[in-house]
Amino acid sequence: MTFEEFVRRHQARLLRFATVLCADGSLAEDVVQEVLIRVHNRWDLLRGYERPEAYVRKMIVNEHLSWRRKWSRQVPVADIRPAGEIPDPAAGHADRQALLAELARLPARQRTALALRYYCDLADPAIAEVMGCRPGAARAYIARGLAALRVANAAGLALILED
Amino acid sequence: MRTEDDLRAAFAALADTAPSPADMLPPLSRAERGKPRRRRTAPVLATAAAVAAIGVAVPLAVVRTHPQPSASPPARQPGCSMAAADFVFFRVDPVPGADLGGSRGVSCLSRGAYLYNATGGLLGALQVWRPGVFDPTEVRRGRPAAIAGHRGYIGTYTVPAGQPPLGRPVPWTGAVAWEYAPDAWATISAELAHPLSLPLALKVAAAVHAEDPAPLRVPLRLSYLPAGLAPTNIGASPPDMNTTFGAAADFGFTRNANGGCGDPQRCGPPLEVVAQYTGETSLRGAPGRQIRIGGHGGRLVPVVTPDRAGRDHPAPGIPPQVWVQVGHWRITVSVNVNATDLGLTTDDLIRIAAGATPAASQTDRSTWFDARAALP
Repeated sequence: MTFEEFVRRHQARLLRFATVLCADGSLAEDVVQEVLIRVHNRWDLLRGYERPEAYVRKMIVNEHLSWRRKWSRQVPVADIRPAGEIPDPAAGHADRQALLAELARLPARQRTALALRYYCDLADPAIAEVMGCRPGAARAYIARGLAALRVANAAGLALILED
Repeated sequence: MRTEDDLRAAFAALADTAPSPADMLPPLSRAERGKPRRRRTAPVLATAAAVAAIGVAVPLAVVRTHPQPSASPPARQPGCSMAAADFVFFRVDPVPGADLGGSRGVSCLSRGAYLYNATGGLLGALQVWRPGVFDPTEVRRGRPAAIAGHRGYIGTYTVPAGQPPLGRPVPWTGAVAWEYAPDAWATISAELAHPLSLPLALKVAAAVHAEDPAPLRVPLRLSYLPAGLAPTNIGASPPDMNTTFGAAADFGFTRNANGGCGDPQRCGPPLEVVAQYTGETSLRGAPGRQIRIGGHGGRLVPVVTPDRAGRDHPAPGIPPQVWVQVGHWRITVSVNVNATDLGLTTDDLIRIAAGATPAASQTDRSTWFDARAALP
């Protein structure tokens, strides 16, 4: 497979994954582009991998977690508190938007772990492998993230309590 | 209480907002494939982005109350017109528990840096403001306190900040502000959702030595600037051996006396020049069209990126970003996408790049340049 074929086949999926990680489409573009430039430079090596897209996904996670990028791009978002309750038939949509806003405020590692679990459907060992940490740490990221988002998860809350 | 299905649905919805592949990477297929990179080049852009945070009308905080955002911005926004002599240099000593993201060591006013905890979680931000640009009216409503040996205040303070590349207003609340010199203020701030502890904020404040008479040294010198441009910021970052990020220099310039800072969403240096030590000697892998130009014994090879990611410079009249490799340094010259009235051309950017001289060493600061003499 040529690099161009790889990009054509996987770029959209990588962009969606990066968008989920970054909670920001523009940042996702930057992340994917930076990663693909490096993939391009190393394609002669990577093309021999059984699943290069898995390696590239890991590169995207690493790029997302890189501290300097976080320093430069992390955007704090203020709590927006409506003045009063307004009945809205689009309440479900609003709830999701609120959840997305809270998700964007999570520490990057927690958000990454949640994305790998709930978007990529990876198990703890696979999440740990992608994030370069121990499975226990991955579980802790997930538990803390779920707790911060107030998502019901008995196992996650137990982990928090253990800490 | 939300459910895991809610989270899955939210992620799916978020994924649906992903950019179209057609919007990016047009230059990639034209890029020359090179050897595996030893060092990252992304920090060039990251640094440029971070530098844009300089001079932000920012926030402070520590307080766990929830103040209402200000109805209007402070009367004085961080003005951008300044001469090099206006810079006040400072350094920040290491503070356990508060990692000053990417900005250890010296830097200059007004300089902002995010504070992280040991696990990388965002704590808040430190900003040292240039003399005369910070309006203390609101912070003076707080509780008077001696901070870092200076007159200061602890309280809530909301600033409708926002600055490219952040791109949107970022209302934070602030809690610690102190006047480190007459009419010159520093602030430590935090987001409402991630309040910074007051004791830690005070430790950070005590570690800021804004009166340090040592002049800032930067690893880049410019010999050409188009007429009418004034500096908005000068900064330098030492190499971080733990992360292999090289040393960096960052300059910002404006043509407008207010630097476009009247509208927080349009703040930021209209023109940025960033130098990053990459450890490489060529621009292999950099996207774009390579053009060889004169200067520096022909070592300069700028790469003009007409449409990096297809969106960096979508506005008419904005010249493309120019990348130049000089020795082991990569220099980026770019115009803020909002600076449509800056009136610079691609040739201007190339001339700026051609006139840039990086330091002989990224680690030996004696080879760096006195910031006051680093500009033409």
